[in-house]
Amino acid sequence: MPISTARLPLRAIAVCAGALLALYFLPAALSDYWLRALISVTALTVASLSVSLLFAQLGMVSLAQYGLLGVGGWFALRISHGLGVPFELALLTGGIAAALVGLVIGLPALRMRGLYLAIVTLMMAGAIQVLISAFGFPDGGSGILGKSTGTRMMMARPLLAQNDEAYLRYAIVIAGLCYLLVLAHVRGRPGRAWAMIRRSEVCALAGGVDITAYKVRAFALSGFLAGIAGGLLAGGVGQLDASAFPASQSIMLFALTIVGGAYSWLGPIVAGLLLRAFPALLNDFRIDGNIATMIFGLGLLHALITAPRGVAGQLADLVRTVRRLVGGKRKAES
Amino acid sequence: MTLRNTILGIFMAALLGCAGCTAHAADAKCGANTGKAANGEPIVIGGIVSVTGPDNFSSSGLAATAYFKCLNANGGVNGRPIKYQLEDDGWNPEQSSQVAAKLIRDQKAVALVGNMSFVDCGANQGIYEKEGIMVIAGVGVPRDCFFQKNYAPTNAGPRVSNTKAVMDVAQTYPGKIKRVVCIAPNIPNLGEWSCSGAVAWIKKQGGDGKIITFDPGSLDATSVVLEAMAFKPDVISVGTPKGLAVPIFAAAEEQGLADKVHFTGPASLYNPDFPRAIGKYWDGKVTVDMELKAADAGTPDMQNWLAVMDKYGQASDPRDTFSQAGYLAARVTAETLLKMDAAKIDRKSVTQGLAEHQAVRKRHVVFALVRRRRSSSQRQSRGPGVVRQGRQARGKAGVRRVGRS
Repeated sequence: MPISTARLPLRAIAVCAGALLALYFLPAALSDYWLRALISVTALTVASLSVSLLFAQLGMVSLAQYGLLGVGGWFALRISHGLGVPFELALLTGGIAAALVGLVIGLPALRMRGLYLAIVTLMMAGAIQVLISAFGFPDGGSGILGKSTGTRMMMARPLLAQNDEAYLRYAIVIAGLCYLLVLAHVRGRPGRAWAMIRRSEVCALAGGVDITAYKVRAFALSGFLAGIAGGLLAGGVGQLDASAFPASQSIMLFALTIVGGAYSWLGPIVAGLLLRAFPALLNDFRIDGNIATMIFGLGLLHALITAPRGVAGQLADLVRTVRRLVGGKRKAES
Repeated sequence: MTLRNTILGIFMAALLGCAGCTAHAADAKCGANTGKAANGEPIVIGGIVSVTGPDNFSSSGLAATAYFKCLNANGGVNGRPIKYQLEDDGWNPEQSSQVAAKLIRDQKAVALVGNMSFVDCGANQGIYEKEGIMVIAGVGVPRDCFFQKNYAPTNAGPRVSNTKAVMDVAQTYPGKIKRVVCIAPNIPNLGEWSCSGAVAWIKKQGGDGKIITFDPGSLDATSVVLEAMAFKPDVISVGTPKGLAVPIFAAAEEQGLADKVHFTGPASLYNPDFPRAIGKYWDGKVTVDMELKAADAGTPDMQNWLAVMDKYGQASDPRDTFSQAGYLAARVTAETLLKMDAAKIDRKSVTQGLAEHQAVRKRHVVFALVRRRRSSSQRQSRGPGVVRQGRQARGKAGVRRVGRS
């Protein structure tokens, strides 16, 4: 019996095939400079996804996510150096450690939201910054802190992704899995519970939603994603720098997630590009990368005033407009 | 002004004047010194420095740029010019690894020269070894720079420099230095390591030491100074680049500490602009280490370095100890390349050539170069290589005072 092609989701298949082809061919076409920049972009996309999960699903502002990146990176490095486990296990450990810390950070969220929650989480990010500054990142030594007194060790990359090209593909696949994890939550029971909590906690409570459990779950998942991002970043460079995780970066991550578009799947990708590819582009043209910060400020103003759905929302509007115009012309021609 | 300071001031003015005369009078000599511009196929050489970030830390790369310009104007490497590409790592390991990949894999650089960064050694150790590229760094900062197979910095490093600075103060005030505080950025493999030599030394003398590290991206100078003073130190060594040291000295000035504690620092503070930046309050009250000869020493090497900087560098390029280091790194590389067959220069041959260079084999290229070119009388006159900060004038046994000019 022939299979009816009308029932096959041809469009979805075409998109998947296109994505796979791009995944294979795009890294091969890039220079090594851009390969390394895009590895960072991919990691930061996952970090931005963790911010948008809390903001878009629960309406909560967490300004500790970049600190959680550092937590994930710290544990991934320590496990990798200390036990010599495969990269995947180190990455997972980093994610779980950050999820646990994220859970602790989320505890104040059970009682507060809005500006107060933002301030509390920012203070948590500051605490993480102080701890990371004081103890640094493991670099192959023994003991709890793993600080080396001789040659520094680099974090071992996955067996399948030893070079930059393969590691970029690997990081994109991990980012894709993170998206699927979020999608599974959003489309399932947690997503519905989060939607009710976002609208009204009283209504959610009346509807039998366990608010505490679902809020804690969101923060733990968000922390897990940030931890995975930290592990990916550590694997990309081979080490992490204690001064690279200030609390201010958490604010930047949140701001650029808003600019990118927290309500769209495209938003975190735009945020990742803005955070890492844009400064790399400026640097490549020998323009001071710090100028990016000024431009980000303007972008945030623009997003807050005219584009609440961020760049991703504007792109979606543009696509709709083009389609309408093209569709209108076709109708007129027929 | 005391009589001592007046004498030192006059002596200093005379020295600076002489240094200025000799620098402008000397012709810049580079490579084969043919006077003809090289126009063959360029040889790509890269360099990584930190321009943006907590402080502009790039004078080594700027000096290497000037030297290679001079070399290109004087015949290049047997007719082939050097295409020197200097990249900024922004004090960020991620960015550092990106620019290293760009230089080594995209631009196919045959060597990296004049590097000067707090994060380069750690971030790029893997790629340097994997790609078999030699780095003749101007300035090695963290510990990694001194333990790598393919990395040869021209300096002895902040650990040695800090220790020398503290030892000099202890020798100047015998029996009075018992407690030492060393301040450094909390960069991996730098902060504690750079101070550990000084602290270990003072402990061996029966004293005690404390290391204070801080985040260079968010320096709270007053807190750092107060934390240091809580230890009741006799000496405070400010082991930071100039830009980060200035607010620390300002905070110490606010607390009126110049007459209570001896302040010193490693070679990173040996910069003619530094005394001006920290102000008159500190005249004659700070000593800093000096790894190379003084900028106004008047030796052929120092004269040529100044002449190259004047003719081929920018007026704004620093003439500090790291500039000397970048010049030497570039010169060692050029000397090696000139001995090679210009048509067969590639990364493998350059790595081999540089590895076999006597100075590189000794790791600290600069000492070998200076030693080779110094006369016996000069050798005797060179002291422990410590600069005393006040007015720039020669003090006892090679110790120099640096001050407002």
